[in-house]
Amino acid sequence: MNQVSSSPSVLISIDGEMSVFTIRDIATRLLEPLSNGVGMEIDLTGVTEIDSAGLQLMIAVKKMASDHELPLRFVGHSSSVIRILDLCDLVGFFGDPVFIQRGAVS
Amino acid sequence: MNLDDALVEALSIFLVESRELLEQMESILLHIEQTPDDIDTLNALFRVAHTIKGSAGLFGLDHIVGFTHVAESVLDKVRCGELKITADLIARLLEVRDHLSRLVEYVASHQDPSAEVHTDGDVLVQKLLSYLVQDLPKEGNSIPITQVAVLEKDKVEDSTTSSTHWHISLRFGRGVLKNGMDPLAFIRYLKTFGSIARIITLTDIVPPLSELDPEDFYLGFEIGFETSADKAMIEDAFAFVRDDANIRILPPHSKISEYLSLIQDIPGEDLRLGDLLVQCGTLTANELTSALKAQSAIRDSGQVTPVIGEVLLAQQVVRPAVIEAALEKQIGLSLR
Repeated sequence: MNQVSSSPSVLISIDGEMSVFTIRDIATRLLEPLSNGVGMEIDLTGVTEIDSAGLQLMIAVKKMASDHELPLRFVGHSSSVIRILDLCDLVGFFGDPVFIQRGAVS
Repeated sequence: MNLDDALVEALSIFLVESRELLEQMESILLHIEQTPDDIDTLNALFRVAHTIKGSAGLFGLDHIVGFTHVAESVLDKVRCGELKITADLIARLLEVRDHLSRLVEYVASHQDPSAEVHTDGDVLVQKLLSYLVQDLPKEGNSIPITQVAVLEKDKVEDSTTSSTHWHISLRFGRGVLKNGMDPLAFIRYLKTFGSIARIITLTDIVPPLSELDPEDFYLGFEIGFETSADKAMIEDAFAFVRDDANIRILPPHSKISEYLSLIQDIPGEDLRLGDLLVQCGTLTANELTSALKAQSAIRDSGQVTPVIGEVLLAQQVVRPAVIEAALEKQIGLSLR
């Protein structure tokens, strides 16, 4: 996970698995900027796999950011992220633009 | 490949796919009078609208999604046998095809549709809506709410709903993830022997990140499920998780009273009434949409905004007793 600072929000990319096995670490890293009053742009390009723990984390991040009125955007949704948002019909909940990639839509 | 390239490529796939589907739609419509009851044909027609809507949604082409959604709802009624194929309907659906084709070509040329095209679309939507909401009273014919609500309460037990899908309501134990199960796997499994007509993921009780235990499970699901399988088969899908979940399965055409008890049973999540009704299969998304429109029209006219339940009631879209149960639920929640 890399952090590139650009005020007032930071760019964070999540790479690899975003599942119950890795979720605690990811949650801790995402909590830090929000607790310090910094918004985030979260790049999901490198997410290879996501389960419901990952999905829930996205929701919890979104809720905390909006509670604190901090900017938050998910970008670069990988095909596994698109699939889970589609399965749960949550694209609209997040409201971020999502682009289909070849193979993402069956 | 950078994001712009990826977008351009994905968009060109969407355009190719949409044009193919619309050609297919045209050729089906031109021959459908010969086989008006062929279920494969009717399913294929539905799939055209469904696929275009889904792909357009991924690109944020909201005007295409909105228009196609109405067409899709009509085609859904056709394939369920609730609407008969008539010469009039075929003509209408050909207009739908032509309009969609126009919208797609605007996307291809990176232009927004002209005001004229939007107006044509609105006119067509109104015509389509008449197939969906034939029992709606004319505008201005509203009814005092409270009276109706009491009036019909006793009739509830006997009435069945028009819903043709199974309704599955899923709540899982907090520890389901720690027990090594992902509830989404069960939903994916459902898709192997049926199709999910609607899914609403309940996110209300997911806490903000600072209060989240990321290994706990907080989501709930309301699912409209189409399948030819029986109840035992659906129940078996959840065999591994049965002890760790609250699962309710309502067959198609369940009695209103059964949906009512479902509304009342749902643990205290702060749900919007409209969603509850759609989840319960009481309302189609379309009936909700036109009620929402009526609601915003009233808002624009400067009057106090009525709650959605009252609008639905005034339009007689839903049975009053259902509204009452849902309102009770809302009131109960706001008192906490």
